Amino acid sequence: MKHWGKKKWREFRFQTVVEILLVIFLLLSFIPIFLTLFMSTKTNWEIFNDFFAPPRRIIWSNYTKAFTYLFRNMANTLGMIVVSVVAVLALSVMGGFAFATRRFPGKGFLYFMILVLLMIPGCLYLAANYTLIKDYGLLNSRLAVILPWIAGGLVMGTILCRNSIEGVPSVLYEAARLEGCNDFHLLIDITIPLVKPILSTVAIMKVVDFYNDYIWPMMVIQSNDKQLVTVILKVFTGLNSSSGLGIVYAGYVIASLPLLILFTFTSRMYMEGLTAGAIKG
Amino acid sequence: MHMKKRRLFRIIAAVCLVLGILGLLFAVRAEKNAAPDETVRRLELDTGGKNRSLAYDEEKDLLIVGTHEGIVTAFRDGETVWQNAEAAGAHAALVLGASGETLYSGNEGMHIYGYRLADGEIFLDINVQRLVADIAVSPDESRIAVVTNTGQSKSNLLVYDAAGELLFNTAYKSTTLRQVAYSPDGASLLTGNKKGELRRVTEEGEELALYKTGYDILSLRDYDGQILCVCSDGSYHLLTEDFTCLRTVRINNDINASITGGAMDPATGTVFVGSEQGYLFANSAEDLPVYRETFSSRITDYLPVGDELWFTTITNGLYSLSVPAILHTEKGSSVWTVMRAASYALCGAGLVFLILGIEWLRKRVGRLLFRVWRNRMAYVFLLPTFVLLYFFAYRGIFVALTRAFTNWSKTNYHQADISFVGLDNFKTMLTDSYFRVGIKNLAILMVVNILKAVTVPLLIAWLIYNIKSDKSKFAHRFLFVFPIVIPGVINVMIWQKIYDPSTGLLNNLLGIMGMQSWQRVWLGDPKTALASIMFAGFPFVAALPMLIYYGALGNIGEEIIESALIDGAGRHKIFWKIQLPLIWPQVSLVVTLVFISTMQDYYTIYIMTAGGPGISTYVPALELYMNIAQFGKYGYASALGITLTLCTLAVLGLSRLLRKKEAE
Repeated sequence: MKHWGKKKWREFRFQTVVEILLVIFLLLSFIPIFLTLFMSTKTNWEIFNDFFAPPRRIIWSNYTKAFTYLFRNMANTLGMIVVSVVAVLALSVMGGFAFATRRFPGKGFLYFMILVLLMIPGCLYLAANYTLIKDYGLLNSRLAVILPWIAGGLVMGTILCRNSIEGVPSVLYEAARLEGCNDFHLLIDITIPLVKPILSTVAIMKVVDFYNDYIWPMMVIQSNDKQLVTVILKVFTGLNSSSGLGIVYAGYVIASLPLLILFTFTSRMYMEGLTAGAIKG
Repeated sequence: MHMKKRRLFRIIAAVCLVLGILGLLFAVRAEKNAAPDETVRRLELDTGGKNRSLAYDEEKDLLIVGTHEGIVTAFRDGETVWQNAEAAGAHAALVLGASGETLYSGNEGMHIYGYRLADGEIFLDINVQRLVADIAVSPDESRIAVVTNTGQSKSNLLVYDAAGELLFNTAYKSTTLRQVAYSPDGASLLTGNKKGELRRVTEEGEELALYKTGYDILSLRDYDGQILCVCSDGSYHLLTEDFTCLRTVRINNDINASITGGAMDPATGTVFVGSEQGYLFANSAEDLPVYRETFSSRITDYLPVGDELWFTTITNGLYSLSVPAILHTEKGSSVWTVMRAASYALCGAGLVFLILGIEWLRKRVGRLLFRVWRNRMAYVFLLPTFVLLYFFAYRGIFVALTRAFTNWSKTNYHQADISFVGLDNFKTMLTDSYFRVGIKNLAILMVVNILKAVTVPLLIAWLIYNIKSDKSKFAHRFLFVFPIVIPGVINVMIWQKIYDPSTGLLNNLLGIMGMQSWQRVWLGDPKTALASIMFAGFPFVAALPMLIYYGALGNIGEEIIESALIDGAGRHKIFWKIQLPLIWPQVSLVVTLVFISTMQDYYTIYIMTAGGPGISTYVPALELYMNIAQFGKYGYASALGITLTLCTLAVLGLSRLLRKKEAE
């Protein structure tokens, strides 16, 4: 009895220490989030003069101002991401299907050409791609961002889709082929419903990737109205740094909302998407 | 029968191939001889100053360039014919006299000079006592009109006779005249001013007509009855003699270049507009944008000559732009194209007959084609993927790999200007201070980032793994991953704000804790900048490594842990002796990922300090970006890219090799 009690006590002590440590780390990790939320409700004067004091009155106009400024770029960003992600999914599932179900001449070589791209970092051909975009006449157009996004995204997408589609039993296809189904119908009616999980993983992974892209859009898009929200935020920060810090912080909150919403609704898949690229690549 | 047929095929094949190859060689050679010029060609003419104005006499084939320093130089076939440096101020405008013997210059040193075209001697020198903006010479060369400015907004239109006697003087108040031109018949004058008003006036100054463009008129020219005004908002107006507007449109200036002027190629109706930053825009006669290129410094004057546009930039010299090339009207005849196509067709037919003529080849190719045909859907499915990859990946890689060994840059942009420099770009790296600082910083960042990724996330994963209740486990995992909803870029911006010297959290925190002496300009001080960048993200609970470790810990069988517990092993011992060795592959995966991202990602540093203060926080990848975006040194940037790639691949290959050996 005594022995049991001691063991339980030890376990309890351990659990408490774990819990305390975790809470401390958690609070520290949330500092930037708390800080941003807190500052976004204050006036510029309050931030400059009394940094830690709670706002006398919550300044909601910080949010409306930031939203008016960022709305156009947010909508633009989301539109570009939707187009790119849909294209990535369509091309990945088509390519993955071809590689997984067909034995065609040149298959090994073509797959190798895709795998090679995983090994080559983007910085190798950043200069070349920039000038090529210029030569294609795409500079300062949305396509200058969307097309490279798709090309970059479908590398991982095709590989993940191929692996996933190879797991579909080939009996299913043979049966359908006997019924006179062509490849297009096979893909739409059999494959896609079966590999939906990997498609959603790829989709989430790419949404997060694209939303976080910064350097490339900054290089190829000059007009503010076509620019992504993350790049515009830097301009926005510069504009308001001295006159409206609260607005800047409100802008950060607003620009984080899309991923927040995505995360809350798909948190399990979100975490899978996060790790899938790293592990399977 | 069969034998005969096959032999016939082989003979046909031989004939086709020989003809095809000969035709191809011939076509390529002929085409090379008749090849159209490059779109833009740099004219190797050095005036020794900043070029301001141009004039060209067709009869004598003299190109005359006036500079900011007051030098006038005449060139013929790339050779200097004469040079005159007697004038004091900048030559704002050069105008040829109709006689073909004279050249007039409107000089900002308050003079009008007349030069003899033959030898460059000054034969006329009028002191106008005001700042000259532009001059015009009447078609019979009996009059010289000049617009001048004094003070803020006083302008004069002066008309002199050929001997330099002042005939008429019209004063304008509260306006700044910019441009003047004679009408082709010499009966009236056109003036343009800063308010955007185009006026037709008599020599006496009497106003005949008025047209309002609304924006500062920067260029005004009369092309035999068609008047072109280029305005500061990037619009141009093409008018008839009676000011009826024929064409008006704004050039597609979405990059906000500051317009400095423009001109028209009268033969094709192509309008050119130039900017302060060296952009040259062209719109076709249909007002569609056909060309845009940057020449890095202000474009100061334009000259349509034949089917070319000659123009000069203030510091980068003269260029010649082929108008047909930008309008895509092919100069060369299409005969060679047809011939080449025919040759290709012949070669193709030859190959087909060759295959048909050789039995085993025929069988093999037949089987291959059958397999290709049966799997045609696979190719259709892969086609868009590879088209995209070709244009946005393979092609770039190929260009980077070849051009890293050239002097490719913003100024040496066109194939014609690019030359092979061997390993020079790589040698530059060794002596480049940016690169040396960058390598040092990269080494520090590498060690710190790897340490960050293998300590705190592993600790947190282990702690969460050890929680008893599943609900609490899930909640903690969720909460620790949650901060990644803040996009990485925004997180960096927030941290930048945290380091702000006056409104940042860090200094304010130190302030209320009474540690004022610890306050710093964190990102602005070379001593603390790099450390501050590395500290950003505290307490370093990165979600990705944490999830990887957590997943790995969860995959270890419960029995192993339990049996160890029964054996009396403490949690410490279990971690070091059992868990850590078992999740070692995941740890090395995280190290690999961190290694790759530290090598390549520089957006954190770019946003926080942009490499500053000075060059104290540069890393090679940031230097690569700066060489593209700021310095336009594409060849050097590609060389940096190759170096980074090789380093990454070498380290990854080495670690893979080591792991294989370990496994054995």
